[in-house]
Amino acid sequence: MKSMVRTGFVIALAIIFLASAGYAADSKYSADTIKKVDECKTLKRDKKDMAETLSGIKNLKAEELKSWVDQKKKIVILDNRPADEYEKEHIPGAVRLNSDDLLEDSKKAEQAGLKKDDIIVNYCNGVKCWRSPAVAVMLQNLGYKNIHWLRDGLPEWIKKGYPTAEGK
Amino acid sequence: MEEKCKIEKQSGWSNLIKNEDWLAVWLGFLIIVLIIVCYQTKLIDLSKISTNFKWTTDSQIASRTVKWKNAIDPLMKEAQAKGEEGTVVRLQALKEALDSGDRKAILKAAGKVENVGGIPAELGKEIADRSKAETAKVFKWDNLSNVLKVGIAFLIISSIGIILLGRTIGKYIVGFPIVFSLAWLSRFLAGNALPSDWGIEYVIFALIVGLAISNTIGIPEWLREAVQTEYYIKTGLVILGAGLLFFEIVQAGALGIIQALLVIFVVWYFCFWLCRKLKVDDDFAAMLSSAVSICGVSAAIATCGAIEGDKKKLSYTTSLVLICAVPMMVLMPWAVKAFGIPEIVGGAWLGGTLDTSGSVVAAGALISEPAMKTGVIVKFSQNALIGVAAFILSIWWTFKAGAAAGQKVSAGVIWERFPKFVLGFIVASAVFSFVLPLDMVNDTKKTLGELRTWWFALAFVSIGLETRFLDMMKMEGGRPAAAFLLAQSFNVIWTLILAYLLFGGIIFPVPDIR
Repeated sequence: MKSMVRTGFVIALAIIFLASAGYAADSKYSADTIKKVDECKTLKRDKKDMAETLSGIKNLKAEELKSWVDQKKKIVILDNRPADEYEKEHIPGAVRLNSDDLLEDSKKAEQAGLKKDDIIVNYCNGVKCWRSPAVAVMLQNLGYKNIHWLRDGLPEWIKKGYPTAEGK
Repeated sequence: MEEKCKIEKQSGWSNLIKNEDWLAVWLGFLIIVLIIVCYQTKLIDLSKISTNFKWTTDSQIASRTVKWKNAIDPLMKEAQAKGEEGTVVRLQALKEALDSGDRKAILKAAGKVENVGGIPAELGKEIADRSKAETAKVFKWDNLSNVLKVGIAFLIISSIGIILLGRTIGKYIVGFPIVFSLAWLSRFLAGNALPSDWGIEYVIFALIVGLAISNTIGIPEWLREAVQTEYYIKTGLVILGAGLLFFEIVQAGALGIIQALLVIFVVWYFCFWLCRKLKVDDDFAAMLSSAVSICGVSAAIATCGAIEGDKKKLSYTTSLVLICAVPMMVLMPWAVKAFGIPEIVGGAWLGGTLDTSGSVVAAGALISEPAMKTGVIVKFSQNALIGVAAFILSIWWTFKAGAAAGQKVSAGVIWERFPKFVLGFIVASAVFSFVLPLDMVNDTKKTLGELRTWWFALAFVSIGLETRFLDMMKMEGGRPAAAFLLAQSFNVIWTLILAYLLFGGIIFPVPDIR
């Protein structure tokens, strides 16, 4: 009986560890980047605000982004949220680059058509959303040079009364 | 001739599969592992496990329109003052949609307000959730089939435990679907907009449904085997461990132990002293005191064993505890809300006074999730001390008997009486806090929460089913009951003071529980 219980326990533990081994971020990312991404997720889990600034990444306000759009400045706006949220509402012209996808596969950045010198703007659902700071940090690690972060995200854009788009 | 409580010798490894506490641990772990495997292999879509219980009738939407519009007005003024044009436009559109009374239009407009963030988003979400919750959706097959799947899975999993416990499996298999259906009924009734607005949760409906049956038609013998409050609640509590951060347990647990020590010593002695004043005999007094001060049934059983007391007195004490718990678990959360007691303090108060784990969960759930979690941790801190109390009492009683009995007192009782499912709870929390990747923890949270709620609902229905107010009348001699109730009142006040001092940020910082 003793051994039976023990075997059962060992099997259960083995399953837990095997299951967790199946999960992995793309090995292209440095340990430091993974740590920063995890920090964002932890803040999200604890329902806290994201960091005020991220080193090497420029903060952007909704007004500045709007003026860039109005000037037809050549920029790439990235929506870092899941598909359903994007379809419900997004900033016009934004391309979808989801944080979970990018974490699993760093090639998603190229596939989204990003060039290393592009002026990139990341946004999600505002100060409590972990996705845009995480994507900004990952892109930085992948060698993209001109990364911006719309920290207040889509809510700020909407509050200002700027236009939005829906659908795919 | 009176039947004496004996110290049951519980030893050896066979306990691991024959003791209810341990089985609850294995059952809880099995469910957690299954969910993790499903998540990892994508074998089953986890979203297909959660059932939707929310329903709002068209007339309920209509009756809320005025209230919602009144809530929108000040938000619009505020947004105007801040120059948030976008917010103003969306709130205006929502007002118009509400005027039209068209549920689809309301849903769309409310969804737009949701994206604004802040307080308007909260209102937007409330309105969107209500307009989305059409009654027919609850009865759709893909929703009902989720209930069926969970029910069958639970029946299979819990049957294994029932067989190992050596109970009558045939009766259990017949009875379980009934208890489960009653749990579904309670959750369905609580899913309506009206009870939700009043803050009346499934907890209350489960108790009412159970009490209504047991106190009118009574429960038939064959159903009794499926009324397993302890078994259900312990399994649910092991799963709850997965939803608690380890540091939350450590933080609240440390304060919980301080509170537990102060409650147990003071209340135990007060009750014992009161019993002597009321001329209740010492054996009875010891059982009642342990029940009031530590944690009801299991403490009374442990005490009875420690002092080799009368079994009749034990069952009297047990009934008292169970009956007393029902009004307390409804009134105390009400008091917490009515007097604006902070939720963490409220949780600690419940955890320190309510005598059964089930009632702590039920009452805590009526306040908020953090309150429930705090209550459970505090309760566990107290439960962990049962063994210590039993140890001290058996020494005392041996001395009282003049050591004539020649009975040996062993410190082993401290471990024997330790509630083992608390270990499962702690291990689950540690694994989810330190071992598993964050994504896995976040993505399985909702499903585990849902399954936990099912176990709790089963337990609450069972509490109702096994509480017979009639039994109270039958009890002879009101003095032990009077002593119990007086001591319980003292316990309620004393623990509230302690909870405020320890958890209210007066002596220590308020524990951060979410």
